[in-house]
Amino acid sequence: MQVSKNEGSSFKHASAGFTLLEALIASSVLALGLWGSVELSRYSLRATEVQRNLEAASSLAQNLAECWGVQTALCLQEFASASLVVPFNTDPSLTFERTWEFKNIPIAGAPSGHLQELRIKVRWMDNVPSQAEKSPSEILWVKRRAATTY
Amino acid sequence: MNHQQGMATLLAATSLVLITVMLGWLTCQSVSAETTRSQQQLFAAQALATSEALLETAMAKLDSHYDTLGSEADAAFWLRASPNACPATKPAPVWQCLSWPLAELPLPEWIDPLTSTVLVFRDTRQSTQVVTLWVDARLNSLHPGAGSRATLQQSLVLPLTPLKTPNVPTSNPTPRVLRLAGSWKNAGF
Repeated sequence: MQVSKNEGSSFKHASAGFTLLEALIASSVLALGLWGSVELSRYSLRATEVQRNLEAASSLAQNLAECWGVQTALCLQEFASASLVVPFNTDPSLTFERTWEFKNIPIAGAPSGHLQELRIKVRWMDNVPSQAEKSPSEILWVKRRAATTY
Repeated sequence: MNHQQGMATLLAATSLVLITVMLGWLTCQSVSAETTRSQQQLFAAQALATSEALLETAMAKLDSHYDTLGSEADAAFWLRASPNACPATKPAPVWQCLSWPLAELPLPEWIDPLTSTVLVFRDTRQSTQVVTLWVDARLNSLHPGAGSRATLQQSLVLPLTPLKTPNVPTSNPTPRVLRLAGSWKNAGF
């Protein structure tokens, strides 16, 4: 009877320790999996943000390009406004620097200004997924216009 | 019994991890697909802007040509017309077609001269003053969206004869190439 009690106690002690070890391993595996999942989510979020910024930048460039030569109040304001712009529906701390320049493209036999080029650059800071620090991004938009009759 | 409980815990945790990782991977795939779609859309828009730039360049050159050469401009321009340049839907000799050599144009920086084309054609049965410009532009390797393409069409009225009516003073400036409504655009990637 005594022997049987001792055997029983010893078995209980051993099995309890084994369960704790397993629980620890299970927790570690779970923690590792959750950490990986969080990292994946962070990566996805950053990639989405990068894409959102790129789309916002291209919209800003296209807005200005389409306004070239259009004498409406809104379009004139686009060219008159400061180069630092905050697009709608984005992070207010995120600013885009929009600069532009006009160039005359020479055409043989034609007067200067017969063909003009508008070069729009939009710059901003991006949270690139593969980099720890924010890095500068830039987009260039080119539009040409001939001085023909509409 | 406890031993089995531990195994069950480990199994449950492993399953949860596998499910979480799978969901994370699917999210990543979804984001990646969305990023690609968005980038392709941007490249298509840039290809369209580039083809518009090429179209404007061709129009400026055409305008300059007709402005400089006057009455001889038309014959000089269409001298290089070839039936081979005509698309299948616009056969010669009803249509007069000219594939404009891109080397004659100051090209926008992202145009691939080997795969881009500028085609000018007109219906000889109708008014030869009305021509159509077809621009098919493809982005070159300087652009991250190399290979993206766009096609544009614009109809124009050429200033073949000066407008001389009693109501128009002779000091009026030379008539210029006039754009007609009804242009269309198509961009792809």
